[in-house]
Amino acid sequence: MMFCGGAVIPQKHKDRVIEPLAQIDRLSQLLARSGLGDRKAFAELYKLASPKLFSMAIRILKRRDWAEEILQEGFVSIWQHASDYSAGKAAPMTWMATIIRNRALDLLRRPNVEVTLEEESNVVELWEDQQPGPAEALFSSREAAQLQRCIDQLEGKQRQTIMLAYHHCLTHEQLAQQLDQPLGTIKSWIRRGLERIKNCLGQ
Amino acid sequence: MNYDHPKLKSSLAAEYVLGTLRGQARQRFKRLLSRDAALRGEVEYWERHFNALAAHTPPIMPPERVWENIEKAISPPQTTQASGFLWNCLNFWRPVGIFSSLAALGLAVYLALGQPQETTLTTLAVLNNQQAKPTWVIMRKQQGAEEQLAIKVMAPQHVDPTKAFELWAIPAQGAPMSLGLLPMQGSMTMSVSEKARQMLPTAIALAISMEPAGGSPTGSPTGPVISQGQLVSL
Repeated sequence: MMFCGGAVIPQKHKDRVIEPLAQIDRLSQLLARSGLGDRKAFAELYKLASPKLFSMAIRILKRRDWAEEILQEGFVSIWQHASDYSAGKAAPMTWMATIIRNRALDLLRRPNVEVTLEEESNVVELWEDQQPGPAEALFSSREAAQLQRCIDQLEGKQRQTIMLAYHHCLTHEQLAQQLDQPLGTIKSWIRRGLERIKNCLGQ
Repeated sequence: MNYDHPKLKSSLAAEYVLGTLRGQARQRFKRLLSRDAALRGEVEYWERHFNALAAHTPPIMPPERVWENIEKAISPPQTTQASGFLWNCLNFWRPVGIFSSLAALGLAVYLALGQPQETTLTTLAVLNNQQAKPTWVIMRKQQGAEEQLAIKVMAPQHVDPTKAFELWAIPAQGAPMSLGLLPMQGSMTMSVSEKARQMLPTAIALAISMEPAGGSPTGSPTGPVISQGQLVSL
């Protein structure tokens, strides 16, 4: 194991710290102004948020051209719905990520679209044996911190399967193949893992 | 499948957000979502938590063309100067019943020069609520000759119904001037009185005081000031 203890933040965890409070406020303001038709604010919003969202789309779709298409459609939709955004419901980045992620998942559903996993061979190890995440204080988005705490409490295999499924949008079948497990086992790891997360979040 | 089972619903909502609900099942679930509010609540619950992690990934700069295409898609439809002109002058003159197009055109030129028809945003303030959360985004808009304040509430506010939040313009010198009562949710546009219009350019800040429902009985702030915000020129 390459980490010495819980206090050390592994390299792959560093990027979790993305929404310091000041940035959440800034993004909320820019979204609100975009909702009032302010193009300058929307341009700034795009500048701040698009690199993370583009990266997310690439990770899901594994193709830059599709990721570009989804990012573009997603931001047009963000502009059109900015006035519906309510800061009480979700953090701004979460709200925008939801719009783009759902579009990406819809694209994966198209019959002629197939994502290959060839370059993905190392992702399985990436999510293997994850150490507990960094201290909660590092998350300024309360929901992200809560969820991470609950994910960290899962058994290794459940955690790995759920993280692979979520971050790389793998299907049950792809997960079974990647983790070399029967389909039923994968399905039950996911189902039980999600149940445990829900119980943990409700506490 | 029996979608009425609460545990099954919750588990489907979770797998929808996780991304493992695919193909036909995802489509069916989306159709169900559109008519089941409880299910939407369940999905929002999972999205609020899971998608807070979604963009925790090293940033990758998208190519410039993506923004160019977005900009094109969201621009208002282009109208040429001439057609915009004709439209304005027809609408202006139709109710008055004057048929001399020449006179109309002449006056329209005069009006168009005097009154920019486009909305311009001039200043902006963001004010916090009592919990110091940025809550009201307030923009000064120039719509033709009329001056307005566009207000957007970023998160619905729940206050004692006998109370109201009143918005004030604070001048460098002299007494605050009321601009009106703030909405507790959604967006609204309010017109600015002539007196406030003259005073606003010299205002150094906006403030919110808590007042009895209906607003300050005296015309000056009577309750505690809950927030102040600087005006930023755009």
